[in-house]
Amino acid sequence: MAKTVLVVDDSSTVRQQVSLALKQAGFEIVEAADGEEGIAHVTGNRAIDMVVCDVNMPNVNGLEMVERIKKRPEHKSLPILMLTTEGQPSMIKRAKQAGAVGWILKPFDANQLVAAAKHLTRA
Amino acid sequence: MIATLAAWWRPRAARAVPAPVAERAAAAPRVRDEMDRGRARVQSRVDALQALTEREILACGRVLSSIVETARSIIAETDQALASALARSDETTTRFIGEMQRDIDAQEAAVAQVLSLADAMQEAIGAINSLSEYSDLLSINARIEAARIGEAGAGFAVIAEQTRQLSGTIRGAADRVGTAIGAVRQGLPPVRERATAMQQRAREFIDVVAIEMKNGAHEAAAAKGGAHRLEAVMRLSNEALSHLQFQDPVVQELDAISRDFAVLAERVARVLAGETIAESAAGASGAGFAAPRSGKVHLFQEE
Repeated sequence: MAKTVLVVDDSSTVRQQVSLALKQAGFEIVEAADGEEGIAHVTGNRAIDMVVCDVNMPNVNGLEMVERIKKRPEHKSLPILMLTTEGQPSMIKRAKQAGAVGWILKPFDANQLVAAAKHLTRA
Repeated sequence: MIATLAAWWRPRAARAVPAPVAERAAAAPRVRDEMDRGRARVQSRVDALQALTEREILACGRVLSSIVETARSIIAETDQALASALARSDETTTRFIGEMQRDIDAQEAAVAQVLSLADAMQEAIGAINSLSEYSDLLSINARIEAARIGEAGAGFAVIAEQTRQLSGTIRGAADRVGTAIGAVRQGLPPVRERATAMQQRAREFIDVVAIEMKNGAHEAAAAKGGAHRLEAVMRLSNEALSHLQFQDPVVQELDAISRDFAVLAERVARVLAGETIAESAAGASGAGFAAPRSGKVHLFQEE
């Protein structure tokens, strides 16, 4: 059964590019335009196997989203990968402390993203 | 774009420089307004450029998506069709060859059995002929004995005659059976030849089928090669995907241009007001094209 990845980014082009890379590797994709929408998807009915998330987004940003999701015991093991142009060590540290499993600097390498997604979801 | 912007504001700045300090100070608000309007125009173009970039990237993404989907479906269909055709061909051919081989073997066995029967019958005829010869001899001896004992042997002579006739009948029957067996023997070689010819044709057919199957395997390999090329298309589309991610640095650069313009407007107004600005602060806002970054995935758990 195909694994489902939630892609959270306020840029529709980034969402499209991440989705395209993962879809052709056999993943199902769910998209959200900000952190609030992302949290709604994670806590919704559809099972999410992994999250790829931007940092700078309106409403609820990526780091806050990770913190809020990881507070829920049922999502402690949900892998969340940050995908962003931000490379500040303080931000990366905060994401790690919040429970993110990794950090990708844009522009991303589609093959590496797919490999990471397969590794993290055991697909 | 920076060069274009510089060309746009330079003549106005050049006109402002020769004026006396008091006049320049009086003109400062107007210059600031003018620069602000210029900045607004630049911002408007920046926004339009950003929208255009986003629209084009989305369109490219849709095209790439279609290419990848098409490639995926071709790969899947090719694999399925090949597997199905090979399985069907293999199963049918194997069954057909097996049946043909069994028919040939059965025919061979039947011919061999008939020949073996013919041999056995020939032996039996030989025994019957020996019996006939023995009866003849017995008949001759009986007649000799009948003649020797005279009238008393008349009845014995009748038996001798009947024995002779029986011997003749046996010999006649044996000859007829022998003739029939000979005919069977004569008829069998053409049957055997036909069987051999049929076997030969079957072997040729099997060879042809084997060649065809080999060709089929080559065609399958060629089709697989096509599938590999399609996979290469998918890999290339991934590369294109990486190249399409220029939007973020472009947006950052456009934001930097806009910020630079705000700083420029402020600084021109200050210069016109007679203020001296330190050279060290004269640089741009500091934002620029981001240095090329690796798209490598950094997994915390593996660090």
